[in-house]
Amino acid sequence: MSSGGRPTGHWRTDRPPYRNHAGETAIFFLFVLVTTFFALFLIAIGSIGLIVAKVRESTVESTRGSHDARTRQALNAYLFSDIPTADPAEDRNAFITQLEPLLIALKIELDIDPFARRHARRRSLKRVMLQLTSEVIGETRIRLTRAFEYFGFVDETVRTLDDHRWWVRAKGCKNAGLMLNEAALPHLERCLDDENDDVRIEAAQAMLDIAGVEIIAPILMRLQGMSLWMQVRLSRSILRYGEHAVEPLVHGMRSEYPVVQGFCAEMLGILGDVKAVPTLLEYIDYTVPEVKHKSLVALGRLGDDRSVPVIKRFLDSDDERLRIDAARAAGAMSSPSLAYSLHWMLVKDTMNVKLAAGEALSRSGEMGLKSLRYAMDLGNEDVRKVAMQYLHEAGVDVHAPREEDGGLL
Amino acid sequence: MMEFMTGFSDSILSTYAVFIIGFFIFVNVFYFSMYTISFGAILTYLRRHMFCDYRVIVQSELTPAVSILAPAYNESATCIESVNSLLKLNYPTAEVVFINDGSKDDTLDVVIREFDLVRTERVYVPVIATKPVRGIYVSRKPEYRKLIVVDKQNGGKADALNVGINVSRYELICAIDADSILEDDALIKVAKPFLDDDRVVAVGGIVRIANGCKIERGRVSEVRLSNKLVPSFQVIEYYRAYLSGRMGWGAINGLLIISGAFGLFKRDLVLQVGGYKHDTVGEDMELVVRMHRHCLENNIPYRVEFVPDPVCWTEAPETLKVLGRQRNRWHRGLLDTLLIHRKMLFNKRYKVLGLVSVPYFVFIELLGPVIEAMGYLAVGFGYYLGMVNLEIFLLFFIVSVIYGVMFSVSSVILEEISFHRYPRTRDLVKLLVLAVVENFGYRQITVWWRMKAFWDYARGVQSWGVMTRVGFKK
Repeated sequence: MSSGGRPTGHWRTDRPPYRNHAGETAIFFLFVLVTTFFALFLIAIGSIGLIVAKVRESTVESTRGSHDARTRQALNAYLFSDIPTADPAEDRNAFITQLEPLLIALKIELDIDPFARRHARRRSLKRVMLQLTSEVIGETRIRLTRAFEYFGFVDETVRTLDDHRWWVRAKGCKNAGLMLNEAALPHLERCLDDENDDVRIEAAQAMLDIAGVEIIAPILMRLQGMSLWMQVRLSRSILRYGEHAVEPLVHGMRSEYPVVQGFCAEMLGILGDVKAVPTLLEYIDYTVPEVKHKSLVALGRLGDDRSVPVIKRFLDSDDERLRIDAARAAGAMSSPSLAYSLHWMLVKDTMNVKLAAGEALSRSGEMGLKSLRYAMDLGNEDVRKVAMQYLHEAGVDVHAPREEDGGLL
Repeated sequence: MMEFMTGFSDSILSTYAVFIIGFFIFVNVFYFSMYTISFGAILTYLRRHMFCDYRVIVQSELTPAVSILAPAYNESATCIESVNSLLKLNYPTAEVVFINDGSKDDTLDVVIREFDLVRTERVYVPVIATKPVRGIYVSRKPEYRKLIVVDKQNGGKADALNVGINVSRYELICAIDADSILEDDALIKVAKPFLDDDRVVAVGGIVRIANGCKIERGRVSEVRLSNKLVPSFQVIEYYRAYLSGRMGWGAINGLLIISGAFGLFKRDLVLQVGGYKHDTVGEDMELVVRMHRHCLENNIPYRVEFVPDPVCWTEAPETLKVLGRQRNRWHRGLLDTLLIHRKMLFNKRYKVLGLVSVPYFVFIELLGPVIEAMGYLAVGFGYYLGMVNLEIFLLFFIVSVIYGVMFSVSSVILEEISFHRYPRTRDLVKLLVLAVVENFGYRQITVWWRMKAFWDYARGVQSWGVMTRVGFKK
């Protein structure tokens, strides 16, 4: 059996190399052709797109740079030129009236360019003005705010709040906040119910930027939920208002949504104003566990003696989590009057509570440290270890000879 | 008899050819769909990124605290740099739990000396059973207050991580490889999904290859592609795996793997599911699958996400030998995990996981190399028997290469339009060329390594294999 030089064997046949039927081959070729074309098309589009994007990016950047430089120059003339003195704090309308001639001059300056470039100039103007919002304050900021309105950017931005794309709406909210125009407030309020979290956050943030502390309570009452990200974002603005934010937050505790109540409780704790204590005490028994937890921690941080009976009560709670929270609150209060309860939690409770109680005692001043040293001498190994750990963390040399602590318990 | 055998082999080969073409179409349609989903997910991520000022997270008291777990075994040469780099991470409240897994070198002594550590009686609840802990150390210096060093009997990476989970105090745990380098904002970015959605239970971060990059004071200061072929091929593979793969899986809540080099988890849930499994080499994947399973079986609303931006730099193998060991281990881990959780395959109770993710991992990731290798064998065998039309085979091969190139180039494009980490144009051109070259030789070698993993698994090989590291270029 000859096979034209190829090896032979049982599995080897003498027939000529395999040939498909014409139909099968045609289908296969068609398949190859279509798929290859498709793949090559995608590779080509992708690669060309990549190169075009790179080239365009550099061109756009250089054009944008020159546009922005000219725009900034024109704007500087408006923002920093002298006008007859009218204190905006005393008579805002008079001040704004004085700005009109300057704005007209600015508009003429910007309109000098041919029509084809007007759109680019307008975008440049908006971009530069938005950049300037973080650079200027006081009277100059009021001029800038007026300019946003004069050039129609406020209306333009408000229109974007109805866009079907969430990121356009979110950007609209953000820009509205930077423009500081009160006309945008009702539209922004509507965005608090948006389906997208980023839009809601930007809307709330913008409202705070525009209207300040007075808008905190309405925002909190309007919100139906808050992601942790929203809480993080809003907390930054709210904390800036300091004690002025206490009242709106107390009002916010009336929200029907536990997550909003919890946020208010936490903020009240961080703000550290004891005016919040009665409200927190009032709500602590009528809320869900998550709000109880945050209220307890807040009460601990506030450190007011009125909270002591409530914290003591929660130290005896059946719920381990609440006992831990109460122990932490007691630790934050550094109240010697709670040291006795904490000591017994350290001795008798579960390991998780022991740890919380140990930590709390280490923060409860001399009385707490004495209690921990006493616990070290008890027979229980776990108690001894917890006590040693927190004494060590409090900077106490547990191996050093000590004086008689006596009389503590 | 002869005719029967010929006819039999003819029909087998024809059937296999149809199967291969069907498989090829299925795989490519699947990849294309996943790429499209990934593209959409990256766009969404970038859009959300526009509204995120990470400084707010750093400054906030509300940001959840993180325990960073860094297991180490014989890492005396690199451990100081690693710990220092972890301590400098930009995050409001974090502790670093460095676990010395019974190193035979002087890792523990080096750390004790450098950070002025003293033994402490730290109490913790040992929820997960582990090998005995020999001691816990904290620093006398206030600047290292965030550092906790645990010395334990050797028990493997999973056991070391479990000790770390037991000892850690915070609600989120971040598992990392002690020899990886995290970017300053990596932890903040990977924690962001936990702020966005309280259902999130685990988040994976992207891992990039540091070979060729310039490292200064524990940070990547200049990103460059390695001059060597093996690490450069892996850059393309990582792009495909992370940007085109995991991003898409994350978007449909079907992500099965969070790299052991960088992942953030809810501690409570990890404790509930029993921590890392220590008798598998794919402990990172197994944990994620178990978390999915636990949530689905108990009707707990959850999400496992992937973030393409936080960067963990790792040193990739530079030689084929070491790379082969690594890929062999990965494939054994995959096989082991899929066998442990075989119940999920095509089980609608497990939703996307049971109907899409697990079948994909079984038939494409796990058995793909087998099918590909059998394809090569069948072509050889068929050609030997004179049953293969060489022109058609070559055409098919070219099509498959073009498709491979398309997906690799797409991943590079995805990277370029989104994160653009390789600034030099020549690196970009090199990556595009490598996307073509890898199909001739490199791809076939990886198929062999993964095939060999089946044999090693059957023999009960459980070793990790020695991972020789040359160290980061300074």
